[in-house]
Amino acid sequence: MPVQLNIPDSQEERVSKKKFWKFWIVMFLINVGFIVIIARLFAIQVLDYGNYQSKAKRQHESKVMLSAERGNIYDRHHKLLATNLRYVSIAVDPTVLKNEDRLCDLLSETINLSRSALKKKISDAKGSFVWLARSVNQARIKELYGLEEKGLILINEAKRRFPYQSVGAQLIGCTDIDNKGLTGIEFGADSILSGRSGYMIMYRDGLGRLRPSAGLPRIKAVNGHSVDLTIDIDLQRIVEFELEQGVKSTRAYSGTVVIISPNSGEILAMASFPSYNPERIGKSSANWMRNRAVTDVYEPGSTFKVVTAAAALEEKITTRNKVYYGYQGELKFKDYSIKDVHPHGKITFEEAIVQSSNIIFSTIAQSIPDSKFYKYIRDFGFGIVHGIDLPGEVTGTIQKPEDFHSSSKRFMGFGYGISATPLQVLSAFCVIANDGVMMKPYVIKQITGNDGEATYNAVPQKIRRVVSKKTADELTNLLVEVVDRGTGRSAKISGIKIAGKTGTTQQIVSGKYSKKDYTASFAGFFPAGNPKYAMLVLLDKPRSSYYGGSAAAPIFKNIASKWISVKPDAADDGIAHNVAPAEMIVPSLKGLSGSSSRDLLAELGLDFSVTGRNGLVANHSPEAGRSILPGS
Amino acid sequence: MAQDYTGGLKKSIASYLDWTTVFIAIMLIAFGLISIYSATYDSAMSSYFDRQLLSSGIGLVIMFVVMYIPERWLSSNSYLIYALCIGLLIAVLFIGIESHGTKGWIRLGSFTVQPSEVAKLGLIFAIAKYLSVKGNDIRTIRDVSIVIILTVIPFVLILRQPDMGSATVMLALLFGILFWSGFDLFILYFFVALPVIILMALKGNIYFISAVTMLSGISFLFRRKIVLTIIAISIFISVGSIAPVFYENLQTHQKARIETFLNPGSNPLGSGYNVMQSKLAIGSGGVYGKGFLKGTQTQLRYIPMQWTDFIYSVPNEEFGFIGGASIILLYLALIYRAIKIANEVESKFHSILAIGSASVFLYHFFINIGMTIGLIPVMGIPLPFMSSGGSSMILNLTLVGLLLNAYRNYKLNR
Repeated sequence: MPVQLNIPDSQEERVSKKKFWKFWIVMFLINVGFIVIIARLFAIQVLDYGNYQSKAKRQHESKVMLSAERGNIYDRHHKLLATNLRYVSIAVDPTVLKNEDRLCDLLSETINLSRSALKKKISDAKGSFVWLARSVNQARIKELYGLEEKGLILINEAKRRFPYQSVGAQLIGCTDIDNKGLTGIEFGADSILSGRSGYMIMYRDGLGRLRPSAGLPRIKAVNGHSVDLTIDIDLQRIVEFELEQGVKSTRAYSGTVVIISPNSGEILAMASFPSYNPERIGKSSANWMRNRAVTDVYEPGSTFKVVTAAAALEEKITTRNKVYYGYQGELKFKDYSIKDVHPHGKITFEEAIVQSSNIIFSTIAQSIPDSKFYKYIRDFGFGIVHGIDLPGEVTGTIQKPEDFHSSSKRFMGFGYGISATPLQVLSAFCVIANDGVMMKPYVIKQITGNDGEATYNAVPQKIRRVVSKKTADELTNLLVEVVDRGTGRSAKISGIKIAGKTGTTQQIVSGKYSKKDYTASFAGFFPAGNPKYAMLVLLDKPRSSYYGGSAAAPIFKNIASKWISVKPDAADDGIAHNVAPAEMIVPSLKGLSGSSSRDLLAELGLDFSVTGRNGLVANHSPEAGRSILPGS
Repeated sequence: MAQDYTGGLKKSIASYLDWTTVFIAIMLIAFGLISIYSATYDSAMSSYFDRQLLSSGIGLVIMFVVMYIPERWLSSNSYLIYALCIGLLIAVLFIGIESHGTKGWIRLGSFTVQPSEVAKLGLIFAIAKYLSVKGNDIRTIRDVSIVIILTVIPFVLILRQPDMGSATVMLALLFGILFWSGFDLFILYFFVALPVIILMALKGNIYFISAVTMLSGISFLFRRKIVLTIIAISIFISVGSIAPVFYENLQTHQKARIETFLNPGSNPLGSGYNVMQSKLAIGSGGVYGKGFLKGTQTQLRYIPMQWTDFIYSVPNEEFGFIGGASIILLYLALIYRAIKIANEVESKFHSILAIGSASVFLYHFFINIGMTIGLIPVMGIPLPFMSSGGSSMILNLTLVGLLLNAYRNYKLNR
């Protein structure tokens, strides 16, 4: 009995013992598992925390550049010359795109691409990025902004817009694709215009979308300042129109015109033809982007006789009526000779300038002492930069007195053997027009900060007195004679006194003066009694006629007369007689906001009607570049 | 059994309710709700939270109902429950709804039921019933075969959906119960070690050699006949050597799938993306976390469908190591509790129900959390009580109900 009882007891004991061990083995194994998990968690979260944290940060934080808006450029009457338009470029990532059909439907309604063309672009794409449309006007794709479509990529970009297209393009300049100034004022004043870009840190979510968050750092962008130029865009347009006509009719290689207000030194117009469209610089040659009025030099030729004459008059070496001998058209030396187009015998100084005698001016120059002659050349601004606020200005070359040889002064007397920029030559004329005082030429009239307050106002700057008022007046009278009855007759406009001087220079081609390639120029100012405008017209290699008087002077005349008809007070005696109103060119308004177009048109004195809702101008008629009459 | 009723009525609920288990379950559900709320915050997805709240409410009610069901009723309906589950698994293959490539849901009105979840319950009941009537530890080939067949039927049906992750739960359940009911440990060990060896062989020679050395060493601890041990070891070595050759002959896409499975980091843009992102979220949480609703990786939705299988990364990012470790300890406590109940109850049926539940929790826990911290290859199975999903929540609370039922019986019968 006890035995019988013992057996189940011991069996039960064995079972419970076994159960007990099993329980603890299981718990031990499970605990090992848990410890492994906790250890791993500890390694990730505590030991390797820094690594994971910085990785996560890199993944979910994104630095977004906040681009500063580039400042506008205006003309002297605050007409908009350069501004920015916001554009959007549309791209997709075909690898994650889900609702391709819906997107194509939407896009085909807003951009000029058919649904099938869009689908083809997407299906032909090889990588994970394909452009669908570049630089689309933001207003047209508003719908896309609300769209939370994975794979749709919208890239905002500002694009520089030039409402007057190619007008003033070399002066205003252009920007590259990143809106950095490349040429002209855009380049020269880039630091003023560009402002300072900022950035903000944004969260990037799992779908790659950016989300702003208030707690994240943000550095605001500082927008660029606006620049008002001294140029008058209306005058500039007339200049460019006439210059183009002139270059074409004389079959010249190129032409340059500069207009300065002699009393202040303000550049009123500055143009070269051919020009380029700053909105399509890809198609333009860099050759035509240069502002030739300051970057290129030429031998000024007879226009330089103004400097010789001023020096001789100021030094009392000559007077108006002093008689000189013209050697019947040819003055021979041992190894060179000087010729006149028309042979002269004994003539007065007055006649010498009116008829532009090289021989007599060579004689006069020879009679001025070396150092004096050099001093006047320098004082008139040759051989040095004016320091105008435009990039690329060059000095030109003049000889120093110690380098003079026997014929130096003889040739310099009528403008050979030195080189100068068109701006330098015109500045010399400005000295005469401004009673003998040289003003510093400048283009930037005002700089306006973001708050609308002007941060800089240009003040006309007197450089030096070059000659006395008496000399200047005397010379002005002589130059009036030149236009009245001398070589500059083609520039004559009835009812207004114009002072001017022609210039015809043989160009040096492979070391020798060419018989074919000439520079024809005409420089002058008006109204002679109270000069408001000094203008230089320069034609490079005109083919029909190479004389400054017959090729360049008519352009001067056309520009002046048109300008007087637009602005009658440009002529002091105010005779605005029988001149037809000049045509004007319709500015391009595309992409401008309704209100700025309205202002622009109102300033031009044009009537207009608006169709469509408020927003940006999509189209207008007549198109840009067409000529219309003022008041239309 | 009538005794049970009168006893149950006489005694107050405090004396037979396992408060600890209920508390742990509710804590885990709360952590889950907070995490789902955070993972679906702001994106017009509050429906996930609402649905989870609803299904945990329903689940808790079911849990208490199950607690009171008499053992006799459970035992006598075990095979019926199993048959119903198998019926559902067959039905889902025909009328199921497909989601993410798996045909695993049956629509019932506005609800969907996931038969692969319910199948766990059916299998636990069927095995518990079969083994409890046997009375003794299983030794015979016949017993083992029947238990294996009971397991293989739902396993194969779930594989057909196909849902590899849920199918492996059936195997885990089988191993847990076989171990508990005294099945030959050496054979169990052999079958657990084999897949480990294959995986290591695919990872590389060093892994393979160290795995074989370690697992062979452990084989000797069982102190079986030396011939048997050597046979097992040679099978380890030969299978491990053949595996890479076999792998080389697979199609490219099959290889790629295995490659990602083994090294999630190797494909950071594909299926390894989730693991990489999950680790980033957890790692960047640090010790104390970034704060509720302030987890950047979670709030910026770097982990797709984070509220399902990768839910564990949410509390870890927002509450840090402290939060994550607390959750692990809660699971440890729950499993400890379940095994303790399995160990202490007298009824073999209850013991197996409890150990079955423990196996399910343990397996889900290890695989899911191991996956989110990059310890274990990705297998899509949810984290009990926390992952969003109605069927899973109700099933897990039903299993807790079975634990409570076992505990109640144990207390009332003392």
